[in-house]
Amino acid sequence: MKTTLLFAVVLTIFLTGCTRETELQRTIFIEDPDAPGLPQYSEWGYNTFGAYFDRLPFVSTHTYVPARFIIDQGATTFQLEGERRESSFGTYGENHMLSFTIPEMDPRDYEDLLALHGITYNLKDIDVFLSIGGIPEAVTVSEGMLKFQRAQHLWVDGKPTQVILSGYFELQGMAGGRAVSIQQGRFDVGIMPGNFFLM
Amino acid sequence: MAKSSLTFVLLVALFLPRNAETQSLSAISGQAGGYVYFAEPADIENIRGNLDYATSDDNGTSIGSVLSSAFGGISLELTSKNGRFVYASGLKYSRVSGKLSMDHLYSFHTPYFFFRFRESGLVTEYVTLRKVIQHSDFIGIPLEVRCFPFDGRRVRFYIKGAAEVNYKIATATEIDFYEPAMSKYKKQVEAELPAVAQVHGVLSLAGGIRFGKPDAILFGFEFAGPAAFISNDAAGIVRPTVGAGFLFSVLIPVNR
Repeated sequence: MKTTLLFAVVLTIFLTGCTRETELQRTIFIEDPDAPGLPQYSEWGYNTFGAYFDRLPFVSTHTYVPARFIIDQGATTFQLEGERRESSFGTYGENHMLSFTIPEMDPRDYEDLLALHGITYNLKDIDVFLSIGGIPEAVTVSEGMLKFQRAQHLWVDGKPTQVILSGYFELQGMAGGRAVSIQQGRFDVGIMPGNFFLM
Repeated sequence: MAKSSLTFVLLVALFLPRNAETQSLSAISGQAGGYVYFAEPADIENIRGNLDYATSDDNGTSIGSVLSSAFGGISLELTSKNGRFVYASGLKYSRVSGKLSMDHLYSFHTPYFFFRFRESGLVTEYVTLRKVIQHSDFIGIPLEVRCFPFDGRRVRFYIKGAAEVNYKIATATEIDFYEPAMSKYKKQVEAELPAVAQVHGVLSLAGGIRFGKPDAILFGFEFAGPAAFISNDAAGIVRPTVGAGFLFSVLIPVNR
């Protein structure tokens, strides 16, 4: 009887502990039939991103937090972290991180990211870093763009919860003496206090 | 949809024997029963998650979906001269309920799903819902053919083929909000849900048994299945695939 009661209490705590914020942080990966290995473009805050990195999928995973905003000494950095798969059908890969330094922006709160709605950046004009296996390299971009197609302030059950940023990116350039090509990039991520860092 | 259902029922009617010499009014039948259909969530663009991955914890939103109906009706039966075939038609009332719910917490799913009910400028609003049920009331016209392959005096087995067309007379939606205070937005949520079609058709096969003394009141029980909607987009929030059900009947013989 005591065991049953204890189990019921633990189950209740577990279930009620799954808050709406936790549920919204989950990655929902819906594959794009036109781009195998990449997530479909969406605007739901599915916490996914993906692009073909030299033909192989570089995608968000359940392991890494897919997106972060870091504001440090006036610089605003948008990071996408995931894995580069060994093939379009692969499930494991090496850790990769792509970082964009957003110019002329100094958000004080995640809600300030709504200002990105509809904005497109030419990546030749901003700092881009690529980190492979934890070693960051500056990317000299010859051509590229980062487009915030839509920014949404998400309210759940009458309470502000996160900002959803959805958009596209692609670039060609040199990183660490090597030519890199990132194509058909798309992202759909939720930014909330948990992945918005004001240093 | 209404046209195709009606056309189908008329085609079935054409195949019923029309020669009065080969058949006679044999009984008035009262019936009651129910169906349950396996179903999947309809394409509801306002639910967050990929409903195609209905059993996936990682990639989708696992929402239980089911369609059920309860019905009662009255029919007139015509029997062929050799007694092997019975044709029936009449009127039928049914209440059909389509349900999406997070009642079953298998794999420790959250007890709610996210539903987008309003977008305004840069603000998007979700509510969390536990359950949505669409209840619809229908008046229908069934057309049934029963075949009794074996002779028997007190007990007779039969197989049945049936088609019916149902007209919606009322509908209502029940929504269980995870956050009770949000129930004030019921109308907005309801407006975003796919509506139940005004008309739908159902095809079914069944097997059954009738028993009782000859020329006295007869009782019947049948198991129906498979049953299917002619168009599975007719059921609003759920998309029925295949169903099964049962029917009880009481028959009062006439012209004996």
